[in-house]
Amino acid sequence: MSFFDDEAEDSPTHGHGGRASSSSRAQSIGASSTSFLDRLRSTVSPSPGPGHGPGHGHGHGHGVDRSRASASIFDESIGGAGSSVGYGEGGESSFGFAPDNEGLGSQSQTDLDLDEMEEMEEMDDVKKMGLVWVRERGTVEIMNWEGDLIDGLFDKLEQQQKMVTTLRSDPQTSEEEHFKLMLVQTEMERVKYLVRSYVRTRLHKIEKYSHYITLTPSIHHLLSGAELSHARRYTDLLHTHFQHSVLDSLPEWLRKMDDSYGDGLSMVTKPNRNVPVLIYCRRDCGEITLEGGERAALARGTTHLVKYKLVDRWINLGWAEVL
Amino acid sequence: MYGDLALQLVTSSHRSTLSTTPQLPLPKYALPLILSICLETRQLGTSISTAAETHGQVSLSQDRGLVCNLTVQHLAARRNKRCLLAYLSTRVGGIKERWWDAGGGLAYLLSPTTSVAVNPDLDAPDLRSALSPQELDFLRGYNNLMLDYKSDFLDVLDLTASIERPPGELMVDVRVVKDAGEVILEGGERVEFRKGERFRLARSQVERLIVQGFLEEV
Repeated sequence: MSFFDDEAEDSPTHGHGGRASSSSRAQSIGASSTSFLDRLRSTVSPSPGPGHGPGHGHGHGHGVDRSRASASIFDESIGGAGSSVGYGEGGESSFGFAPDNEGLGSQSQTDLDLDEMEEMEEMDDVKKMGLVWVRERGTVEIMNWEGDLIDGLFDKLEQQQKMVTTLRSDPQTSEEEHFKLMLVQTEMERVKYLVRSYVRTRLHKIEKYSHYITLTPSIHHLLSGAELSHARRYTDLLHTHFQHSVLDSLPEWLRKMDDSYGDGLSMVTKPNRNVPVLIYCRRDCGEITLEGGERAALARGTTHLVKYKLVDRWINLGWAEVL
Repeated sequence: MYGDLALQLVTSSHRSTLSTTPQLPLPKYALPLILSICLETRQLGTSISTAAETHGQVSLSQDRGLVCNLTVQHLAARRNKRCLLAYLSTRVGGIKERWWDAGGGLAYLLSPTTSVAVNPDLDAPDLRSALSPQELDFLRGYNNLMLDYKSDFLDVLDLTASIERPPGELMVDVRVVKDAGEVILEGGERVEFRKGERFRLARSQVERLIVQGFLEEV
Protein backbone atom coordinates (compact mmCIF):
# COMPACT_ATOMS: atom_id res chain seq x y z
CA MET A 1 0.00 0.00 0.00
CA SER A 2 2.92 2.33 0.64
CA PHE A 3 3.60 3.26 -2.94
CA PHE A 4 0.19 4.76 -3.36
CA ASP A 5 0.31 7.07 -0.41
CA ASP A 6 1.97 10.05 -2.00
CA GLU A 7 -0.47 10.24 -4.88
CA ALA A 8 -3.39 9.92 -2.53
CA GLU A 9 -2.36 13.11 -0.73
CA ASP A 10 -2.42 15.13 -3.92
CA SER A 11 -5.70 14.00 -5.24
CA PRO A 12 -8.18 16.31 -3.46
CA THR A 13 -6.80 19.38 -5.28
CA HIS A 14 -7.35 17.74 -8.64
CA GLY A 15 -10.74 16.58 -7.66
CA HIS A 16 -12.16 19.95 -6.75
CA GLY A 17 -10.94 21.52 -9.94
CA GLY A 18 -12.91 19.14 -12.07
CA ARG A 19 -16.06 18.61 -10.12
CA ALA A 20 -17.91 21.79 -11.03
CA SER A 21 -18.99 21.13 -14.57
CA SER A 22 -19.96 18.14 -16.62
CA SER A 23 -19.75 17.22 -20.25
CA SER A 24 -21.82 15.04 -22.45
CA ARG A 25 -18.87 12.90 -23.38
CA ALA A 26 -18.24 11.85 -19.84
CA GLN A 27 -21.87 11.14 -19.26
CA SER A 28 -22.08 8.79 -22.14
CA ILE A 29 -19.09 6.94 -20.76
CA GLY A 30 -20.79 6.69 -17.40
CA ALA A 31 -23.94 5.26 -18.88
CA SER A 32 -22.25 2.73 -21.07
CA SER A 33 -20.35 1.27 -18.17
CA THR A 34 -23.53 0.06 -16.53
CA SER A 35 -23.81 -2.98 -18.71
CA PHE A 36 -20.22 -3.85 -18.00
CA LEU A 37 -20.91 -3.56 -14.31
CA ASP A 38 -23.91 -5.81 -14.53
CA ARG A 39 -21.99 -8.34 -16.47
CA LEU A 40 -19.16 -8.28 -14.00
CA ARG A 41 -21.49 -8.54 -11.07
CA SER A 42 -22.99 -11.70 -12.39
CA THR A 43 -19.58 -13.32 -12.35
CA VAL A 44 -18.50 -12.04 -8.96
CA SER A 45 -20.05 -12.81 -5.60
CA PRO A 46 -23.42 -11.38 -4.48
CA SER A 47 -22.97 -8.08 -2.65
CA PRO A 48 -23.14 -8.45 1.13
CA GLY A 49 -24.06 -4.88 2.09
CA PRO A 50 -27.21 -3.00 1.14
CA GLY A 51 -25.25 0.16 0.44
CA HIS A 52 -23.54 -1.27 -2.60
CA GLY A 53 -26.48 -1.51 -4.90
CA PRO A 54 -26.16 -1.25 -8.63
CA GLY A 55 -26.80 2.46 -8.36
CA HIS A 56 -23.53 3.48 -6.88
CA GLY A 57 -21.12 2.34 -9.52
CA HIS A 58 -22.13 4.25 -12.56
CA GLY A 59 -22.81 7.40 -10.58
CA HIS A 60 -19.15 8.26 -10.88
CA GLY A 61 -19.32 8.91 -14.54
CA HIS A 62 -21.37 12.06 -14.18
CA GLY A 63 -19.74 15.34 -13.46
CA VAL A 64 -16.48 14.31 -14.99
CA ASP A 65 -14.91 16.70 -17.45
CA ARG A 66 -11.65 16.86 -19.22
CA SER A 67 -9.42 18.18 -16.47
CA ARG A 68 -10.99 15.78 -14.08
CA ALA A 69 -10.31 12.92 -16.36
CA SER A 70 -6.67 13.75 -16.60
CA ALA A 71 -6.18 14.09 -12.87
CA SER A 72 -6.10 10.76 -11.14
CA ILE A 73 -8.06 7.63 -10.48
CA PHE A 74 -8.40 8.62 -6.84
CA ASP A 75 -10.67 11.53 -7.54
CA GLU A 76 -13.86 9.66 -7.89
CA SER A 77 -14.44 8.65 -4.33
CA ILE A 78 -13.11 11.84 -2.81
CA GLY A 79 -14.86 14.29 -5.04
CA GLY A 80 -18.00 12.37 -5.89
CA ALA A 81 -20.63 12.57 -3.18
CA GLY A 82 -22.38 9.52 -4.54
CA SER A 83 -19.68 7.09 -3.58
CA SER A 84 -19.20 8.34 -0.05
CA VAL A 85 -22.89 7.75 0.58
CA GLY A 86 -22.65 4.25 -0.76
CA TYR A 87 -19.74 3.25 1.42
CA GLY A 88 -21.11 5.03 4.46
CA GLU A 89 -24.17 2.86 4.45
CA GLY A 90 -22.20 -0.25 3.74
CA GLY A 91 -20.03 0.43 6.75
CA GLU A 92 -22.99 1.02 9.02
CA SER A 93 -24.47 -2.35 8.31
CA SER A 94 -21.35 -4.41 8.61
CA PHE A 95 -19.30 -2.71 11.26
CA GLY A 96 -21.79 -0.99 13.47
CA PHE A 97 -20.38 2.52 13.58
CA ALA A 98 -21.91 5.21 11.48
CA PRO A 99 -19.95 8.05 9.97
CA ASP A 100 -22.38 10.93 9.70
CA ASN A 101 -20.88 12.67 6.73
CA GLU A 102 -23.08 11.14 4.09
CA GLY A 103 -23.42 13.26 1.08
CA LEU A 104 -20.88 15.83 2.20
CA GLY A 105 -17.73 16.77 0.40
CA SER A 106 -14.23 16.20 1.61
CA GLN A 107 -13.91 19.53 3.46
CA SER A 108 -16.24 18.43 6.20
CA GLN A 109 -14.10 15.41 6.76
CA THR A 110 -11.28 17.51 8.09
CA ASP A 111 -13.50 18.45 11.03
CA LEU A 112 -13.52 14.88 12.21
CA ASP A 113 -10.60 13.80 14.30
CA LEU A 114 -7.72 11.90 12.85
CA ASP A 115 -8.96 8.54 14.00
CA GLU A 116 -12.20 8.87 12.13
CA MET A 117 -10.35 10.14 9.09
CA GLU A 118 -8.52 6.87 8.82
CA GLU A 119 -11.54 4.63 8.97
CA MET A 120 -12.23 2.40 6.03
CA GLU A 121 -15.38 4.28 5.12
CA GLU A 122 -13.69 7.52 4.24
CA MET A 123 -10.86 6.00 2.32
CA ASP A 124 -10.86 5.95 -1.43
CA ASP A 125 -11.07 2.67 -3.23
CA VAL A 126 -7.43 2.40 -4.14
CA LYS A 127 -6.31 2.93 -0.59
CA LYS A 128 -8.82 0.38 0.60
CA MET A 129 -7.58 -1.98 -2.07
CA GLY A 130 -4.08 -1.54 -0.70
CA LEU A 131 -5.21 -2.42 2.80
CA VAL A 132 -7.20 -5.40 1.63
CA TRP A 133 -4.26 -6.58 -0.42
CA VAL A 134 -1.85 -6.34 2.50
CA ARG A 135 -4.30 -8.15 4.73
CA GLU A 136 -4.76 -10.93 2.21
CA ARG A 137 -1.04 -11.36 1.81
CA GLY A 138 -0.28 -11.20 5.50
CA THR A 139 -2.66 -13.88 6.70
CA VAL A 140 -2.85 -17.62 6.20
CA GLU A 141 -6.60 -17.98 6.01
CA ILE A 142 -8.67 -16.90 3.09
CA MET A 143 -10.27 -13.52 3.76
CA ASN A 144 -13.58 -12.19 2.63
CA TRP A 145 -13.76 -11.56 -1.13
CA GLU A 146 -14.02 -7.81 -1.64
CA GLY A 147 -16.26 -8.07 -4.66
CA ASP A 148 -17.74 -4.59 -4.41
CA LEU A 149 -14.38 -2.98 -4.11
CA ILE A 150 -13.09 -4.84 -7.14
CA ASP A 151 -16.26 -4.00 -9.04
CA GLY A 152 -15.81 -0.36 -8.23
CA LEU A 153 -12.19 -0.35 -9.26
CA PHE A 154 -12.86 -2.21 -12.51
CA ASP A 155 -15.63 0.20 -13.25
CA LYS A 156 -13.34 3.16 -12.79
CA LEU A 157 -10.51 1.54 -14.70
CA GLU A 158 -12.85 0.98 -17.61
CA GLN A 159 -14.01 4.58 -17.54
CA GLN A 160 -10.50 5.95 -17.27
CA GLN A 161 -9.38 3.74 -20.14
CA LYS A 162 -12.15 5.09 -22.32
CA MET A 163 -11.38 8.67 -21.40
CA VAL A 164 -7.70 8.16 -22.03
CA THR A 165 -8.36 6.63 -25.43
CA THR A 166 -10.73 9.42 -26.37
CA LEU A 167 -8.40 12.15 -25.21
CA ARG A 168 -5.35 10.62 -26.81
CA SER A 169 -6.89 10.53 -30.22
CA ASP A 170 -8.29 14.05 -29.79
CA PRO A 171 -6.05 16.50 -31.70
CA GLN A 172 -7.03 19.33 -29.35
CA THR A 173 -5.32 17.66 -26.42
CA SER A 174 -2.33 19.77 -25.47
CA GLU A 175 1.20 18.65 -24.71
CA GLU A 176 0.68 19.08 -21.00
CA GLU A 177 -2.46 17.06 -21.05
CA HIS A 178 -0.66 14.28 -22.87
CA PHE A 179 1.79 14.22 -20.04
CA LYS A 180 -1.03 14.02 -17.54
CA LEU A 181 -2.51 11.18 -19.51
CA MET A 182 0.75 9.32 -19.11
CA LEU A 183 0.45 9.74 -15.36
CA VAL A 184 -3.11 8.47 -15.41
CA GLN A 185 -2.07 5.43 -17.38
CA THR A 186 0.80 4.66 -15.06
CA GLU A 187 -1.58 4.96 -12.17
CA MET A 188 -3.97 2.59 -13.85
CA GLU A 189 -1.22 0.05 -14.34
CA ARG A 190 -0.42 0.28 -10.66
CA VAL A 191 -4.01 -0.26 -9.66
CA LYS A 192 -4.19 -3.20 -12.01
CA TYR A 193 -1.08 -4.59 -10.41
CA LEU A 194 -2.74 -4.36 -7.00
CA VAL A 195 -5.87 -6.14 -8.12
CA ARG A 196 -3.90 -8.75 -9.99
CA SER A 197 -1.70 -9.50 -7.05
CA TYR A 198 -4.72 -9.62 -4.78
CA VAL A 199 -6.59 -12.07 -6.97
CA ARG A 200 -3.55 -14.24 -7.40
CA THR A 201 -2.79 -14.31 -3.70
CA ARG A 202 -6.29 -15.56 -3.16
CA LEU A 203 -5.95 -18.10 -5.93
CA HIS A 204 -2.78 -19.39 -4.37
CA LYS A 205 -4.51 -19.87 -1.03
CA ILE A 206 -7.52 -21.43 -2.67
CA GLU A 207 -5.41 -23.96 -4.52
CA LYS A 208 -3.36 -24.72 -1.44
CA TYR A 209 -6.42 -25.39 0.70
CA SER A 210 -8.81 -26.40 -2.08
CA HIS A 211 -9.83 -29.66 -0.49
CA TYR A 212 -10.39 -28.05 2.89
CA ILE A 213 -12.42 -25.29 1.30
CA THR A 214 -14.68 -27.67 -0.61
CA LEU A 215 -15.24 -29.73 2.52
CA THR A 216 -16.06 -26.75 4.75
CA PRO A 217 -19.33 -25.08 3.77
CA SER A 218 -19.00 -22.52 6.56
CA ILE A 219 -16.26 -20.66 4.72
CA HIS A 220 -17.92 -20.72 1.32
CA HIS A 221 -19.39 -17.28 1.83
CA LEU A 222 -15.87 -15.85 1.92
CA LEU A 223 -15.30 -16.76 -1.70
CA SER A 224 -16.77 -15.41 -4.86
CA GLY A 225 -18.76 -17.76 -7.06
CA ALA A 226 -15.96 -18.09 -9.54
CA GLU A 227 -13.46 -18.79 -6.80
CA LEU A 228 -15.61 -21.44 -5.23
CA SER A 229 -16.09 -23.28 -8.47
CA HIS A 230 -12.38 -22.95 -9.10
CA ALA A 231 -11.69 -24.55 -5.72
CA ARG A 232 -14.03 -27.43 -6.50
CA ARG A 233 -12.72 -28.05 -9.95
CA TYR A 234 -9.14 -27.73 -8.86
CA THR A 235 -9.68 -30.30 -6.12
CA ASP A 236 -11.19 -32.65 -8.66
CA LEU A 237 -8.38 -32.10 -11.10
CA LEU A 238 -5.73 -32.70 -8.47
CA HIS A 239 -7.37 -35.82 -7.15
CA THR A 240 -7.87 -37.24 -10.60
CA HIS A 241 -4.22 -36.62 -11.24
CA PHE A 242 -3.23 -38.41 -8.04
CA GLN A 243 -5.59 -41.27 -8.73
CA HIS A 244 -4.33 -41.83 -12.23
CA SER A 245 -0.68 -41.44 -11.33
CA VAL A 246 -0.29 -43.67 -8.30
CA LEU A 247 -3.34 -44.31 -6.18
CA ASP A 248 -4.93 -46.64 -8.71
CA SER A 249 -2.01 -49.02 -8.42
CA LEU A 250 -2.11 -49.14 -4.64
CA PRO A 251 -4.20 -51.56 -2.55
CA GLU A 252 -7.77 -50.42 -2.33
CA TRP A 253 -7.76 -49.35 1.28
CA LEU A 254 -5.00 -46.85 0.51
CA ARG A 255 -6.79 -44.98 -2.26
CA LYS A 256 -8.67 -42.40 -0.24
CA MET A 257 -7.75 -38.74 -0.27
CA ASP A 258 -9.14 -37.75 3.13
CA ASP A 259 -7.46 -40.18 5.52
CA SER A 260 -6.09 -39.23 8.87
CA TYR A 261 -2.80 -40.67 9.98
CA GLY A 262 -2.28 -42.32 13.32
CA ASP A 263 -0.77 -39.16 14.74
CA GLY A 264 -3.92 -37.20 13.91
CA LEU A 265 -2.46 -35.61 10.80
CA SER A 266 -5.13 -35.32 8.15
CA MET A 267 -4.57 -35.48 4.42
CA VAL A 268 -6.72 -32.40 4.05
CA THR A 269 -4.44 -29.42 4.43
CA LYS A 270 -5.83 -26.74 6.68
CA PRO A 271 -4.54 -23.24 7.17
CA ASN A 272 -2.22 -23.17 10.15
CA ARG A 273 -3.83 -20.66 12.44
CA ASN A 274 -0.95 -20.79 14.87
CA VAL A 275 1.44 -18.81 12.73
CA PRO A 276 2.53 -15.52 14.24
CA VAL A 277 1.48 -12.27 12.64
CA LEU A 278 2.78 -8.79 13.19
CA ILE A 279 -0.14 -6.46 13.73
CA TYR A 280 -0.59 -2.76 14.18
CA CYS A 281 -3.69 -1.77 16.14
CA ARG A 282 -5.69 0.96 14.48
CA ARG A 283 -8.14 1.04 17.35
CA ASP A 284 -8.31 -0.20 20.90
CA CYS A 285 -8.82 -3.94 20.61
CA GLY A 286 -9.23 -4.78 24.27
CA GLU A 287 -7.24 -7.56 25.89
CA ILE A 288 -6.28 -10.98 24.69
CA THR A 289 -5.26 -13.98 26.73
CA LEU A 290 -2.01 -15.54 25.60
CA GLU A 291 -1.21 -19.25 25.71
CA GLY A 292 0.43 -19.13 29.11
CA GLY A 293 -2.57 -17.42 30.67
CA GLU A 294 -0.91 -14.03 30.47
CA ARG A 295 -3.02 -11.12 29.33
CA ALA A 296 -1.93 -8.48 26.85
CA ALA A 297 -3.66 -5.22 26.03
CA LEU A 298 -3.92 -4.27 22.37
CA ALA A 299 -3.97 -0.52 22.72
CA ARG A 300 -4.42 1.80 19.76
CA GLY A 301 -1.27 2.58 17.87
CA THR A 302 0.76 -0.30 19.26
CA THR A 303 2.46 -3.12 17.38
CA HIS A 304 2.38 -6.76 18.45
CA LEU A 305 3.66 -10.11 17.32
CA VAL A 306 1.02 -12.67 18.25
CA LYS A 307 -0.48 -15.90 17.03
CA TYR A 308 -2.91 -15.37 14.24
CA LYS A 309 -5.80 -17.20 15.86
CA LEU A 310 -5.75 -14.84 18.83
CA VAL A 311 -6.31 -11.72 16.80
CA ASP A 312 -8.14 -12.90 13.68
CA ARG A 313 -11.33 -11.12 14.79
CA TRP A 314 -9.64 -7.74 14.88
CA ILE A 315 -7.90 -8.31 11.60
CA ASN A 316 -11.20 -9.21 9.96
CA LEU A 317 -12.83 -6.09 11.33
CA GLY A 318 -9.99 -3.96 10.11
CA TRP A 319 -9.23 -2.77 13.61
CA ALA A 320 -5.82 -4.31 13.44
CA GLU A 321 -3.60 -4.20 10.41
CA VAL A 322 -1.22 -6.93 9.39
CA LEU A 323 2.23 -5.61 8.72
CA MET B 1 13.87 -52.53 4.10
CA TYR B 2 10.36 -51.19 3.63
CA GLY B 3 10.21 -47.56 2.66
CA ASP B 4 13.76 -47.18 1.42
CA LEU B 5 12.67 -46.50 -2.13
CA ALA B 6 10.10 -44.00 -0.95
CA LEU B 7 12.73 -42.20 1.05
CA GLN B 8 14.93 -42.03 -2.01
CA LEU B 9 12.06 -40.53 -3.98
CA VAL B 10 11.29 -37.87 -1.40
CA THR B 11 14.89 -36.81 -0.88
CA SER B 12 15.49 -36.41 -4.60
CA SER B 13 12.28 -34.45 -4.89
CA HIS B 14 13.35 -32.25 -2.02
CA ARG B 15 16.73 -31.63 -3.60
CA SER B 16 15.13 -30.46 -6.81
CA THR B 17 13.23 -27.71 -4.99
CA LEU B 18 16.19 -26.36 -3.08
CA SER B 19 17.24 -23.87 -5.68
CA THR B 20 14.66 -21.38 -6.86
CA THR B 21 16.98 -18.80 -8.42
CA PRO B 22 18.01 -19.90 -10.93
CA GLN B 23 15.17 -22.31 -11.25
CA LEU B 24 16.37 -25.82 -11.88
CA PRO B 25 14.73 -27.66 -14.72
CA LEU B 26 11.99 -29.97 -13.58
CA PRO B 27 13.57 -33.42 -13.18
CA LYS B 28 12.25 -36.23 -15.25
CA TYR B 29 9.28 -38.09 -13.84
CA ALA B 30 10.74 -40.96 -11.80
CA LEU B 31 8.56 -43.62 -13.33
CA PRO B 32 10.65 -46.76 -12.53
CA LEU B 33 11.05 -45.76 -8.91
CA ILE B 34 7.37 -44.99 -8.56
CA LEU B 35 6.40 -48.29 -10.10
CA SER B 36 8.61 -50.23 -7.72
CA ILE B 37 7.21 -48.32 -4.75
CA CYS B 38 3.70 -49.14 -5.90
CA LEU B 39 4.74 -52.76 -6.27
CA GLU B 40 6.19 -52.82 -2.79
CA THR B 41 3.04 -51.30 -1.37
CA ARG B 42 0.87 -53.83 -3.19
CA GLN B 43 2.99 -56.67 -1.84
CA LEU B 44 2.61 -55.25 1.64
CA GLY B 45 -1.12 -55.04 1.10
CA THR B 46 -1.40 -58.69 0.05
CA SER B 47 0.87 -59.83 2.85
CA ILE B 48 -1.29 -57.97 5.38
CA SER B 49 -4.56 -59.39 4.12
CA THR B 50 -3.29 -62.98 3.83
CA ALA B 51 -1.77 -62.81 7.31
CA ALA B 52 -5.00 -61.52 8.74
CA GLU B 53 -7.03 -64.15 6.94
CA THR B 54 -4.94 -67.18 7.81
CA HIS B 55 -4.67 -66.34 11.48
CA GLY B 56 -8.20 -65.12 12.01
CA GLN B 57 -9.63 -62.98 14.76
CA VAL B 58 -8.58 -65.12 17.72
CA SER B 59 -4.86 -65.22 17.23
CA LEU B 60 -4.89 -61.53 16.32
CA SER B 61 -5.61 -60.65 19.92
CA GLN B 62 -3.16 -63.23 21.34
CA ASP B 63 -0.21 -63.46 19.04
CA ARG B 64 1.79 -60.30 19.79
CA GLY B 65 4.37 -61.05 17.15
CA LEU B 66 1.71 -61.12 14.47
CA VAL B 67 0.20 -57.85 15.64
CA CYS B 68 3.63 -56.26 15.56
CA ASN B 69 4.26 -57.58 12.08
CA LEU B 70 0.95 -56.28 10.77
CA THR B 71 1.43 -52.87 12.35
CA VAL B 72 4.84 -52.41 10.79
CA GLN B 73 3.59 -53.44 7.36
CA HIS B 74 0.60 -51.18 7.70
CA LEU B 75 2.69 -48.18 8.62
CA ALA B 76 5.14 -48.88 5.83
CA ALA B 77 2.32 -49.02 3.29
CA ARG B 78 0.82 -45.78 4.52
CA ARG B 79 4.18 -44.14 4.51
CA ASN B 80 4.75 -45.22 0.94
CA LYS B 81 1.49 -43.65 -0.08
CA ARG B 82 2.35 -40.46 1.71
CA CYS B 83 5.74 -40.25 0.07
CA LEU B 84 4.26 -40.86 -3.37
CA LEU B 85 1.70 -38.13 -2.91
CA ALA B 86 4.29 -35.76 -1.50
CA TYR B 87 6.40 -36.35 -4.57
CA LEU B 88 3.48 -35.74 -6.88
CA SER B 89 2.30 -32.59 -5.17
CA THR B 90 5.78 -31.13 -5.12
CA ARG B 91 5.89 -31.65 -8.84
CA VAL B 92 2.44 -30.17 -9.25
CA GLY B 93 3.73 -27.11 -7.43
CA GLY B 94 6.66 -26.93 -9.81
CA ILE B 95 4.44 -27.36 -12.85
CA LYS B 96 2.09 -24.59 -11.74
CA GLU B 97 5.01 -22.33 -11.01
CA ARG B 98 6.29 -22.80 -14.54
CA TRP B 99 2.85 -22.20 -15.93
CA TRP B 100 2.62 -18.86 -14.16
CA ASP B 101 6.19 -17.93 -15.10
CA ALA B 102 5.31 -18.48 -18.72
CA GLY B 103 2.36 -16.15 -18.36
CA GLY B 104 -0.09 -18.96 -18.92
CA GLY B 105 1.19 -19.76 -22.38
CA LEU B 106 0.66 -23.50 -22.58
CA ALA B 107 1.84 -23.91 -26.13
CA TYR B 108 4.95 -21.89 -25.39
CA LEU B 109 5.59 -23.91 -22.24
CA LEU B 110 5.41 -27.23 -24.02
CA SER B 111 7.23 -26.29 -27.18
CA PRO B 112 10.50 -28.20 -27.45
CA THR B 113 12.53 -25.07 -28.18
CA THR B 114 11.68 -23.42 -24.88
CA SER B 115 14.29 -24.94 -22.66
CA VAL B 116 16.93 -24.40 -25.29
CA ALA B 117 16.13 -20.69 -25.37
CA VAL B 118 16.05 -20.32 -21.59
CA ASN B 119 19.20 -22.22 -20.75
CA PRO B 120 21.04 -23.06 -23.93
CA ASP B 121 24.15 -24.34 -22.17
CA LEU B 122 22.32 -27.10 -20.36
CA ASP B 123 21.14 -30.21 -22.09
CA ALA B 124 18.09 -30.14 -19.85
CA PRO B 125 15.11 -32.12 -21.01
CA ASP B 126 12.27 -29.86 -22.10
CA LEU B 127 9.21 -29.75 -19.94
CA ARG B 128 7.12 -32.01 -22.09
CA SER B 129 9.48 -34.95 -21.85
CA ALA B 130 10.01 -34.41 -18.11
CA LEU B 131 6.32 -34.80 -17.39
CA SER B 132 4.39 -38.00 -17.08
CA PRO B 133 1.29 -38.36 -19.30
CA GLN B 134 -0.86 -37.81 -16.21
CA GLU B 135 1.01 -34.63 -15.41
CA LEU B 136 0.52 -33.41 -18.94
CA ASP B 137 -3.18 -34.00 -18.50
CA PHE B 138 -3.07 -32.11 -15.25
CA LEU B 139 -1.26 -29.20 -16.85
CA ARG B 140 -3.82 -29.04 -19.66
CA GLY B 141 -6.65 -29.25 -17.17
CA TYR B 142 -5.11 -26.54 -15.07
CA ASN B 143 -4.67 -24.39 -18.12
CA ASN B 144 -8.36 -24.75 -18.98
CA LEU B 145 -9.33 -24.02 -15.42
CA MET B 146 -7.32 -20.84 -15.33
CA LEU B 147 -8.58 -19.76 -18.74
CA ASP B 148 -12.10 -20.06 -17.42
CA TYR B 149 -11.25 -18.17 -14.28
CA LYS B 150 -9.40 -15.33 -15.89
CA SER B 151 -11.88 -14.81 -18.67
CA ASP B 152 -14.09 -13.12 -16.08
CA PHE B 153 -11.49 -10.42 -15.71
CA LEU B 154 -10.00 -10.33 -19.13
CA ASP B 155 -11.61 -7.17 -20.49
CA VAL B 156 -9.97 -5.11 -17.78
CA LEU B 157 -7.10 -7.08 -16.50
CA ASP B 158 -4.70 -9.79 -17.61
CA LEU B 159 -4.43 -11.96 -14.55
CA THR B 160 -1.43 -13.86 -15.75
CA ALA B 161 0.81 -10.85 -16.27
CA SER B 162 3.79 -10.58 -14.01
CA ILE B 163 3.42 -9.60 -10.36
CA GLU B 164 7.06 -9.68 -9.54
CA ARG B 165 7.40 -5.95 -9.12
CA PRO B 166 4.90 -3.13 -9.04
CA PRO B 167 4.98 -1.33 -12.37
CA GLY B 168 7.17 1.73 -12.26
CA GLU B 169 7.32 2.96 -15.79
CA LEU B 170 4.69 2.91 -18.44
CA MET B 171 7.05 2.52 -21.33
CA VAL B 172 9.83 0.05 -21.76
CA ASP B 173 12.82 -0.14 -24.07
CA VAL B 174 13.05 -3.50 -25.72
CA ARG B 175 15.38 -5.23 -28.10
CA VAL B 176 14.13 -7.98 -30.34
CA VAL B 177 15.99 -11.21 -29.64
CA LYS B 178 13.96 -13.51 -31.83
CA ASP B 179 11.91 -12.78 -34.93
CA ALA B 180 8.31 -12.47 -33.88
CA GLY B 181 6.82 -11.35 -37.17
CA GLU B 182 4.15 -8.71 -37.35
CA VAL B 183 2.29 -8.08 -34.13
CA ILE B 184 -0.86 -6.02 -33.77
CA LEU B 185 -0.78 -4.07 -30.54
CA GLU B 186 -3.66 -2.96 -28.39
CA GLY B 187 -4.02 0.44 -29.98
CA GLY B 188 -4.37 -1.15 -33.41
CA GLU B 189 -0.91 -0.27 -34.67
CA ARG B 190 1.14 -2.97 -36.34
CA VAL B 191 4.73 -3.52 -35.41
CA GLU B 192 7.14 -5.73 -37.27
CA PHE B 193 9.57 -7.28 -34.81
CA ARG B 194 12.78 -8.22 -36.55
CA LYS B 195 15.83 -9.48 -34.74
CA GLY B 196 18.17 -6.78 -33.47
CA GLU B 197 15.72 -3.89 -33.71
CA ARG B 198 14.88 -1.71 -30.76
CA PHE B 199 11.51 -0.29 -29.77
CA ARG B 200 10.01 1.82 -27.07
CA LEU B 201 6.54 0.50 -26.28
CA ALA B 202 4.02 0.38 -23.49
CA ARG B 203 5.02 -2.30 -21.04
CA SER B 204 1.57 -3.83 -20.69
CA GLN B 205 1.41 -4.42 -24.44
CA VAL B 206 4.64 -6.29 -24.87
CA GLU B 207 4.91 -7.96 -21.48
CA ARG B 208 3.89 -11.29 -22.92
CA LEU B 209 6.51 -11.15 -25.65
CA ILE B 210 9.16 -10.38 -23.06
CA VAL B 211 8.10 -13.34 -20.93
CA GLN B 212 8.20 -15.63 -23.92
CA GLY B 213 11.67 -14.54 -24.83
CA PHE B 214 10.99 -12.70 -28.10
CA LEU B 215 11.95 -9.34 -26.66
CA GLU B 216 14.53 -8.35 -24.13
CA GLU B 217 14.43 -5.34 -21.86
CA VAL B 218 17.29 -2.91 -22.37
